[in-house]
Amino acid sequence: MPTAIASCRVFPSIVLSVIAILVSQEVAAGETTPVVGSADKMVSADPIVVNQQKYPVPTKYNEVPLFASQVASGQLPPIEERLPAEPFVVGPGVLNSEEWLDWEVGQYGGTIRTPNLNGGVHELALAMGMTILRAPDQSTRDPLPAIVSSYQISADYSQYTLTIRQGLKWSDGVPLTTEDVRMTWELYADERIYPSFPRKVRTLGRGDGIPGKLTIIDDLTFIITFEASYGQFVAELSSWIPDYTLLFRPAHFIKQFHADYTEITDIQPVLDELQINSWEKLVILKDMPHWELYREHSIGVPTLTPWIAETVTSSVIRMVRNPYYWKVDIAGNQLPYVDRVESEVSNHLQAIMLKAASGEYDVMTSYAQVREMPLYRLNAERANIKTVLHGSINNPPILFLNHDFDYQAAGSVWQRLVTDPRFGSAIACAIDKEDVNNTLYFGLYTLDGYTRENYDPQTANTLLDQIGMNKLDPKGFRTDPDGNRFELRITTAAISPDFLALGELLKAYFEQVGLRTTLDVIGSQLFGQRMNANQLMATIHWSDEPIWGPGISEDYWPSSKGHWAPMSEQYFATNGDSGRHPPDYLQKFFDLHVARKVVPPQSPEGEALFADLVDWFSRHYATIWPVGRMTVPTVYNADLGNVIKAGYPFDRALDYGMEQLFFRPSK
Amino acid sequence: MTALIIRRIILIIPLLFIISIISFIIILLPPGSYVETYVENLERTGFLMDESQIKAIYKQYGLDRPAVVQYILWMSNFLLKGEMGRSFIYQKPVTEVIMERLPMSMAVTLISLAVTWLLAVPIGIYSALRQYSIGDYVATIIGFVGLALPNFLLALALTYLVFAKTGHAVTGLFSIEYKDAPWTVDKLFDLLGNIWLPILVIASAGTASLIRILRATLLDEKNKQYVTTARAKGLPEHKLILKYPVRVAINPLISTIGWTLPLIVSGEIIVSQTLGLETLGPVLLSAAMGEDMFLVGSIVMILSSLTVIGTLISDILLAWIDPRIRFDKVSI
Repeated sequence: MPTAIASCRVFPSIVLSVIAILVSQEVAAGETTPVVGSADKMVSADPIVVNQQKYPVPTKYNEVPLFASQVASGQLPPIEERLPAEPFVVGPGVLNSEEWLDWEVGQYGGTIRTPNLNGGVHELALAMGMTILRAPDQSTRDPLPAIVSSYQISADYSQYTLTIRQGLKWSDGVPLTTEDVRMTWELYADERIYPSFPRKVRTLGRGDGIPGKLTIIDDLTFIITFEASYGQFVAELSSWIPDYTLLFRPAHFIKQFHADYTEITDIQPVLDELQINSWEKLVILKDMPHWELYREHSIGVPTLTPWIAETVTSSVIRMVRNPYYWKVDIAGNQLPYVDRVESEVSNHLQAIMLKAASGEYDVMTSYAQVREMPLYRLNAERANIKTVLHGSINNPPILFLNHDFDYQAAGSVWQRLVTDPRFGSAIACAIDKEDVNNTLYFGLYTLDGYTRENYDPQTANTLLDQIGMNKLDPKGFRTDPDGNRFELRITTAAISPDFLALGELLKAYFEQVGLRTTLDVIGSQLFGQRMNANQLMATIHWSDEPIWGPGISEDYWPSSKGHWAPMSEQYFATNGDSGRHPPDYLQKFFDLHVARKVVPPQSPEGEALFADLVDWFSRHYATIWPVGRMTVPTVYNADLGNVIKAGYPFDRALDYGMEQLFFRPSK
Repeated sequence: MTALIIRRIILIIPLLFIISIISFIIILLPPGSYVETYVENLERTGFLMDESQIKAIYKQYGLDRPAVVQYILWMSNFLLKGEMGRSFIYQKPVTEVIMERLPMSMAVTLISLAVTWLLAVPIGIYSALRQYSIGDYVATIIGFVGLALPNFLLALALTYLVFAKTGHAVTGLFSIEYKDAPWTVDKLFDLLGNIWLPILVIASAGTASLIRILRATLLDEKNKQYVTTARAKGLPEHKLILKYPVRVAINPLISTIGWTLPLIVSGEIIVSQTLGLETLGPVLLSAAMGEDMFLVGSIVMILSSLTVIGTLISDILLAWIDPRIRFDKVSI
């Protein structure tokens, strides 16, 4: 736990209330008075104030060798002027917890080569993930101030006061100020650019929530106030999904293309060159989300990322280090250690594997599979690569039972079955988890998903008999409780090869306990459409369970990956205008979901609510887990330092922490 | 004949217009759109886009308007300004995307064609003249194997063989250092070290079919009366073969030469995709799968135009080379 919070909580409460009063006075002195909702106010502990880092700022900085000549000739300012007054200090336990990484101070130099399939989103998108607050690994608990030098959260989680690091600059040397935040809010509110405010900056993250009110205090400090408690916002500030572009966009850059700030005659040459016909579309293009910051059209866009795009063609992406990057290590070296990142675009997965096995990539996280480990191990010596096995933020595919399917039919058989926990339990008992693990995943995955039942076909049979499915039809399969033909239809698409394999295995297990099962494999577009239209009884899909707890992913949502209650979700999203009015047990899920948003997801209250959510899933069988956690390999250059240890619970550590990787000199 | 050619050229324009409509319709047939595929890909990696961001992208790409409007805008831009629209995937004008890869596409295709012809014609002639000899059988067997094996399978097998023997993965035309570097002797050597594999693969299938065609036609021709007459009159063997029967046997080859014009642009898509070559083939494939409307539409238009023009050139060439067509006034 950062010493900052421990020490703050030790402070007398008087000091805290003084701060709270000062803050609220400043806010009152501003133009707007925040409206703090009363009904949803969380009465909790003291306000949270974090204004210290884990390590002290070094007294001396070491210039980057790559920039030495440019600094000498005056093209670039010296390092002390490029860094903020107090840069973010990276050391042991900052980007990854000490349990998983023996952190060392690295050396400058080198180029990291990564693969890229079809120019799509991949490794680099995460390496560009610079969050406003930062907790290690994939956590959002008690994050350190990163882009901001301090943050304050009101006791009821409705008000967030953030102070930008003094001297922190965009990659083109222009300082980051609250003008950038103001511009972001202006763009969000401008219907010509954004049809509506993004969900994540609305109260409780709801599509119809009131957007947070922005109050600018001075050049560096600003306050965002929500109508009601919105503790989840801490997770949004620490998550690489919305990233820093949630609050900070380069105002000075975008204004060049915005007709309210620049004459249209000055914008027209750019429009002509890019063959775009309106300045609004140009602004939408230039207002770049962080996952596009390595594409060709991102060249020239100011960023807060460790590397910036230098040259990009349809076959190779080259990035060079950002001279104004705002992080240093404990020894005073400006991060990143590695000067350049290169990514070669391939069209064929096999080509990528072959190249990885011949040592042509230094970091490969997205395309490595356990299935191909022998290939990498065999060539490890010759290619100077190593592999490490770790967990993943993704899950192996799970079975989703649609609780909304057929809800409009009176006396629907499916509805009776899916609301009976005995049916879900029977299905869960019928699955041989170990068999799935051994057949599909080399026995390397874990078995600890949300489904508590283990393989027990006897209990499955007993339960099915108990629900009334104890008669057999002419073909030998169980009938439904009314005595009619019953068919369990599982639908999936070939999104990943193991979806189909799992489907076949499940069909075999269910048929063994007498349930007639059909596996439908359709195209992924059609799959999405039918799921949305509530036409599917049961589906197989992924989810990102490991990051549900920290609040980074919301994949459990009924209309996210495997739609397990799309019509109830519609009711929730449209506030009752359309969809299905959820029955009480489903409403409990939505209540839990909303309650989670009120507090930070990894606060004690947040974790208790999450445990309730997990329990809800286990008891209602909306999701059935054949296996638990994945094991995935990362293939990397044997000379790289600061690589996480085997068994790390998540994946993509070498992407999300690419700035701390360095090349050891070869022996 | 000139009148015929002019008439053919005039007919090209309405033909291309119809092709443009059909290709646009076909691109729009698959459900969803580029934005949906884009959002899905993002979600698969874990990034969730906000609904307002998604709507903004729809607007940015003009996908919020009906298909007819998009088509009219695309066509009018092309006819009035010579612009072929913007690629969604690459976020730059289509012309730039195509021009970036066109030179390598042309190089690969032209070299493959040259190699194919240089190999196929002599071997085909030899095969026909020394029918049923050892050489003929060897050429036939290799030809059939080359014809029967799918190109991409051969490509993968060869790549793996080279990798297993040398530890070097030949994928792509250039190593990463030279991909966007200016042309130097080193870059040329790097290219030569990589280009032999795709050329070998592409040429193998083409050579086989050409050999069989040439052999068959020549076998037909060499037993005809005029050959015997020429031989009797004392013409040296090689001259009489090359000047008379081979000229007739070449006809089928010439008639297909026009279709190499679109091939120069599109190249051998499957082999390019498998080997990751920096040609237009992979671009076309990923654009089609990603529903990058204007890029696919423009490339299809270019290929169609080249096919039509190429056919016309073929016909003209045939008329020029084969006097029978000219003098018999057989309509082309």
